[in-house]
Amino acid sequence: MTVLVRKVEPAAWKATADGIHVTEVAADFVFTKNTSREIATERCTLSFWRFDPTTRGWEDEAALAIAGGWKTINDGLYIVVLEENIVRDAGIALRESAGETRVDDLRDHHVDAEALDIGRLNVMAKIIADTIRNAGRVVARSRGDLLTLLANAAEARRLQLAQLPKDLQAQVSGHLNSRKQS
Amino acid sequence: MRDTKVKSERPAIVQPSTYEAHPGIVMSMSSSVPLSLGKVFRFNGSVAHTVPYVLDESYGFLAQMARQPSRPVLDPEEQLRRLVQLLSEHAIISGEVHPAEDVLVALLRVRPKRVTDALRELAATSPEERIDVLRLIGRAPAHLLPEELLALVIDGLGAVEVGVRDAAVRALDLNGSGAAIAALGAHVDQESEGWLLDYARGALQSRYA
Repeated sequence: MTVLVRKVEPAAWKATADGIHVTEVAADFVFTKNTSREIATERCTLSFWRFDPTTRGWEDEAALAIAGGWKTINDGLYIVVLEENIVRDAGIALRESAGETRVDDLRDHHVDAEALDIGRLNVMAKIIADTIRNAGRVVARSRGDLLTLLANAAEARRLQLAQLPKDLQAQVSGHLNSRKQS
Repeated sequence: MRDTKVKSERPAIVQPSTYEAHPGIVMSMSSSVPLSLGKVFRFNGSVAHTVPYVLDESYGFLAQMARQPSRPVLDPEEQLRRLVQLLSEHAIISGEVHPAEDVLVALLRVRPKRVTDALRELAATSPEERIDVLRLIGRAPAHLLPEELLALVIDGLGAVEVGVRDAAVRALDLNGSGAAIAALGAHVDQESEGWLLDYARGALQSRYA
């Protein structure tokens, strides 16, 4: 049994608007690209990371994979955790692909939900909404958590500091330095 | 920045990409030194000899004065309008710099009271605007933030909308000041949304780890 994870803004999935019942998903907050990228597709795919939830520390690995693709750590992170079999059973095709992260050994943990038409995208949205609202399977990591994860990965040589964007490099180096001093 | 601090040496070549435009920067034509001494104008080319570098011998600073039209210095009111426009046009995305961040910093330096009033007004228009305002405030350097803006963030912890509370928690986590962390600590006992509570606890734990 594996899980698929993706960065989300849980509040967007709970937002309501005029005429939208609290049990429904308000389209503005989830589908409109200029207010949120919750479920914006690219080439009709949605990006997910795949992990074995029986592996110790997998939530941190998931957060590391995602933050490892950022330009700067200027925020924390929420991740929604979906059961892969639920997604597959709903008729969503998954294809392994290289993930956009600077942590080399996590790149192959990435899959795309592919060939998404409006109907299948709606199915994905409902699965995500249900998971956030009812199952409550959301992992939260603060900014400090993410810096610690990245610093640990740099120390373990899982990512190369020199390859990080300037801002991120300074943040991770600063975190490593302050850790050495304390 | 390092290039501009060289004294009594004449730097021959610089990496133009290390210099970034700063909104509203004021250039002193007489001394050829940017008054802010923070950053100088972006030069889109990459070859030194195409740019008429001007060296101020008395200061030893290097300023590059490209012949291309420089970015005009915006009136603070114009910058405010630009800030509001940028907030409405661009989502605030984790891991990405928002284009309004630089504008806010520039305004906090020159018109802290005016920008505080404007952000409070904007935040009052709707929960969505309030979320954007709080998250943007969170990304401003803590030392530039007027107390009123930090208070605006702290007020957000008591909002009915979970999105506003989330924005407030994240802004306080980023701010990291004593007052911000104290407010976050006090909020933990009040928060009813599980994922937001996890975030707030994580933020506090990582401060004291």
